[in-house]
Amino acid sequence: MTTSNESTVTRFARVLRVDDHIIHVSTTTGVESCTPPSIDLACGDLVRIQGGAIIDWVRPNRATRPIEEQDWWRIHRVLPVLRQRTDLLHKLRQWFLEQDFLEVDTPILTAHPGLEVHLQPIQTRVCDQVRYLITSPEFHMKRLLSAGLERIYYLGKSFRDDEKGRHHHPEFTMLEWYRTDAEPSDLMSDVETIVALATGEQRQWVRISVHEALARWGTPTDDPDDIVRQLVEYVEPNLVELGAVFLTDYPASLASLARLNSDDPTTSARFEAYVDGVELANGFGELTDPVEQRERFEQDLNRRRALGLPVFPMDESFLDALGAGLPPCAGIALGIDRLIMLATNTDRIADVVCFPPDLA
Amino acid sequence: MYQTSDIRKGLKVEFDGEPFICVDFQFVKPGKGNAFTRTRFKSMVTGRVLDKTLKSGESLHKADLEDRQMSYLYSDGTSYTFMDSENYEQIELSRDVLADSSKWLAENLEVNVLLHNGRAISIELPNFVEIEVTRCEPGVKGDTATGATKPATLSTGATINVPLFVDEGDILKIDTRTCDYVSRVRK
Repeated sequence: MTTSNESTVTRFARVLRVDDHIIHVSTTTGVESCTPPSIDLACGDLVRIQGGAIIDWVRPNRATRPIEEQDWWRIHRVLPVLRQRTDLLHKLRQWFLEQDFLEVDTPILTAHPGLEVHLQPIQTRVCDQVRYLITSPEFHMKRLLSAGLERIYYLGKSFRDDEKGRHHHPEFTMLEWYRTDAEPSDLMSDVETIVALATGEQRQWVRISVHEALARWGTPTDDPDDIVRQLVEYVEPNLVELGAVFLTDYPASLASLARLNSDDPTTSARFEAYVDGVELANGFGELTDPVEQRERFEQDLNRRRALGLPVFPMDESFLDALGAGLPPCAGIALGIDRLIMLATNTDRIADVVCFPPDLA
Repeated sequence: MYQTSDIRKGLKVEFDGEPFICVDFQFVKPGKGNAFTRTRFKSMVTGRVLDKTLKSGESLHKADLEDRQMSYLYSDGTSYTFMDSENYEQIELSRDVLADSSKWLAENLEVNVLLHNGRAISIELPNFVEIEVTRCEPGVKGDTATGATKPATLSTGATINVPLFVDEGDILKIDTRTCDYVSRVRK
């Protein structure tokens, strides 16, 4: 607002509180105090203000929901976070641009969702055909890498059914990026940079393998379900004190789409980034072998059938892309909402988005 | 039976035959692993806290709890006898179950008795009770504003601080949540 005179600018505001001699209003730039006009204003009324005075009563608030559930009230509280979110997304895009990355706009609707047993895709119909909302853009992104792109990122929504909690929303903003000819360690330094960009502070990152973590806080085992349970029950609570942690070398049974480590094929090139005990990102040295990929899909489908979960068609275009030759590459997905929680020191995704699932 | 998706604060369940109430919970799910619910339960009998990590889909036993309106009859010093206001059935509660509540038990006081599998595990007092003063220093007339207090012993055996104007034989209204004197009811 450098061109216009502050005192002549009129803006919309909401009445927050009415005291005897002063009225507090919410504006897009924060809370302001105004002298009350002769009319009887109530909390929530929409007014027009100019130079610290209410000049017009635009609309009385006749909404019937409790005030905490009214959009204007919630957005008033989330607004500072929305500014930080805008700022962070801008910085991230700038950083990727400087690193010579291409932003890719991969589909959200797909006929071939991820097959992992513990990710449940949301089904819909499009033009009378069954489609799914992506649980992650990874198949499409790897098809782009196989087609010749080298550094790509996706910044957008992903969807997972049955996930709702303080740190989980069924729709969430995901940042996923890939580098060809790169190792997990390259992605780890990317994560370090991005977390520093978001929070404005440099952290000392600790690297600890899943095996080391289990030996330290749990009981090493080969059973993948038991490993996950121990990660949740014993490891994650202890990661809080370590601050910024890369949990590395997941056992082969939990490799997902990561390649196995050549020096120890019982482990994989999969890692997760945790900050203050909250899981931020999941990265892979990617599996590029089409035969092994098909076997893993078949295993996933068999486990899905055994558990009575829905099964989906394998993504043959993706397997074809691996067959055509996927260069060695590493890729990672990072939860943007959780990164913003970290940057704004909040503990609920609901506090960093405009519309939490129950109000969507 | 409850499922993990039913868990919310205040949910009452049973572990090994003991009733617990949920005081905190969080849905957790590592990126590619199965989902869990981290929970914290508090025993409704002993108050001890139990942290449990439950796998999604696990089921929990509903605690069989019942609230009954009863009135206090008398005590023999170790047990306290109550009568169901509807069917006149009498039950005895031990001092352990009553804990600190026993000091507000004036004759005929209506309380809520919480039963688990038919066994009384706690009582809920009304927020306010009216009890007679049995012993205190003589009242100071007209002194209603200084805020000074003196101890007074009540007919139930409890001792509380009361304003100086209170006399023996006064009936006092007391807040059982804060153990504070509220007002004098009548003489």
